[in-house]
Amino acid sequence: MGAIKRKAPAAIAAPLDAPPFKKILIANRGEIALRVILACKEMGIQTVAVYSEADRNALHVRFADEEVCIGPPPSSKSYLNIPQVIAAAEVTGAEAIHPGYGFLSENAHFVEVCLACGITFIGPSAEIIRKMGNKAQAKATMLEAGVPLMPGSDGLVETVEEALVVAEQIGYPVIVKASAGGGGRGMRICNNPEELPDLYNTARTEAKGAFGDDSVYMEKYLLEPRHIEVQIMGDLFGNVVHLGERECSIQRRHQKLIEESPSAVLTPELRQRICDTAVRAAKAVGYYNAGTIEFLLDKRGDFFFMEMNTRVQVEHPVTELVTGIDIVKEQLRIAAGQKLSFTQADVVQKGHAIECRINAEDPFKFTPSPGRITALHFPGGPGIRVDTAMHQDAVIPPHYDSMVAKLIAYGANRTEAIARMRRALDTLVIEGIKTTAPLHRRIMDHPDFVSGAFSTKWMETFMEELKRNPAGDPR
Amino acid sequence: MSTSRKPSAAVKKTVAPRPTAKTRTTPAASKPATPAVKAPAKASVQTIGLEEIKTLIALVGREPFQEFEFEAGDMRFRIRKDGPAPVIQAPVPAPIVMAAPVPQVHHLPAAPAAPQAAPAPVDEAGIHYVTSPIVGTFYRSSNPTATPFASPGDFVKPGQTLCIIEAMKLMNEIESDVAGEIVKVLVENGTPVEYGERLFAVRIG
Repeated sequence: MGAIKRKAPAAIAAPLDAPPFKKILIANRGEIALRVILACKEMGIQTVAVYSEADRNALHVRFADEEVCIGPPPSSKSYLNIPQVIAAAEVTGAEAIHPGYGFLSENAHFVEVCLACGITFIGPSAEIIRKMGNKAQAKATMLEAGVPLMPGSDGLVETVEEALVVAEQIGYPVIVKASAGGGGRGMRICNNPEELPDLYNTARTEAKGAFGDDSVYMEKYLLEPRHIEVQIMGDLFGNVVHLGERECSIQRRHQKLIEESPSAVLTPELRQRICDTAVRAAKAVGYYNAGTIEFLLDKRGDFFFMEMNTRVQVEHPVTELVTGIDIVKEQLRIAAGQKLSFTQADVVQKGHAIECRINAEDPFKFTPSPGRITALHFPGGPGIRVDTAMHQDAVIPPHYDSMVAKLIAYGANRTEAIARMRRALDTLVIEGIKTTAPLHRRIMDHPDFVSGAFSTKWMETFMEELKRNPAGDPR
Repeated sequence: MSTSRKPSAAVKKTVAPRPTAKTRTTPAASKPATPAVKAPAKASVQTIGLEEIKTLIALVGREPFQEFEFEAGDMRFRIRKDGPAPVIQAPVPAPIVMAAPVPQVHHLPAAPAAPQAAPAPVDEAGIHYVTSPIVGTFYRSSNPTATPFASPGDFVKPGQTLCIIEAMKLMNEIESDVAGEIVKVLVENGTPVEYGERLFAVRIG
């Protein structure tokens, strides 16, 4: 076991701008840890990597200036172990901690511990995280700020008469859902008052049979909903700006597979309304640092607040490519108490970016495929960005998530971005494990994707189509 | 902050230094090096009979080997003596009578390429390393003027405090998980240590 390692500094380079911090610790692993290290290298900030015993040979460990082993492979004993992470910051003298995404990034308690130990948390306050993390409280805050929420019943719907009244208020179609529910059971979609009584009763009977509990509630049923989210950034001086939207409707079981910016379906007016709403929502909680507000957009152009993510997102690169703003570097400046380096007027979406999440999974069955990468080649050329921590002979441990790379294609317009993504997928080589790259190629080829005609339910239909036509023969 | 911990439990995670004769499927690469002899697979021997095994057991019993491993084709077995390791420097009369239980002979499938094993806690015969269960700053004594908890030559018992590791302003007492003599203190007083870092070398006994 090695001691805490400090690497010899490279030759002294002429200083660029004064860095916002001297040294920070990155409480994460994989590509996002590396992403933060890259930003720090550009800014002249020293970096401390923490790692579990499973990540001894990981690139974030290799490229950081210092490294501290904080525990055995299970996340609960290493990357989620607050005392170990804090102790690592203390012994290395790190001034701030970047949490990345996942792990401790939305843990309000961790933020409080950082504060108590005199370490800057690179993200919003514990209070904001708590407020937005609690669904009921987040909704109440959003309602107050005039942010549209998904219309629905106020709690349980006890009788047919009540159901009819609620449906009239929220507007058809509506969905009746079992409160104990899941997996589609005890769930009915109703299009008009004529069919509501029967469907309401069936839903309750089914809920009783499936869960032993026949209580139900109602919500508006969205036709072909799309997942649209808005990247926002705020500083400690009350400035909040948006960086435009991302469309993340291609998802499977609420796991995003493909994200793009801008969305293919937003009109300039609708974009303006959604982005303004997001800024209003962020201001309502006094938000600062990077955050994302997620909405569901229906066919008619109505959108509803889903949730807020109080951290950097996996899909932040698509926004970086179309706006030219480095979100991670901005996060570091904001945490150091600097003002936002740009105003709303400076933010212009130019071109189009698409990201494919390449996971170590069977491309069509989605079973995890951990193992050793025996051969690796990443595509390059104009408009391609690859965010990854993979390398030749890397072993993907079974302890963490399965994402191996984010492949991001940028083009002057959506057509060029798709064309670049196709050839990037064709020249991507990852051997030794299975990846979802072939699935992405099939999606990139699909007429629905090309035309932009998809919703959050599209993957379900596409999976059916794959079963019928597994070889991908021309339709 | 609810950050206080009882470190002693974590210390105990290190492997017991001298396992009794039991089936071990760890590859040869990770086992103690010194008093073991490995016979590489050779010649045309495919199987060996009971008589040969008996002869080998007797041979190992006479010789100052602690462990004997044999490999031929897809057959592999290992003979291992129970009891304390012989000290190499001082010639010790070889035990004539085998310690009970009788050394076990295990037929193992031919080992695949050795996977990366964690560094063994025992490097040489009878040396055990006490490792740090946490990240923090290592202190040998309770305050700068106090006598160190443990110094080379000291004999320690399991559960005895060896040092303090400060993490998040808390002083965590690190206890020994074995009985034996401190051979070496591997970390400078007042320096940072990481999870799993070796702190003390202890000669079991």
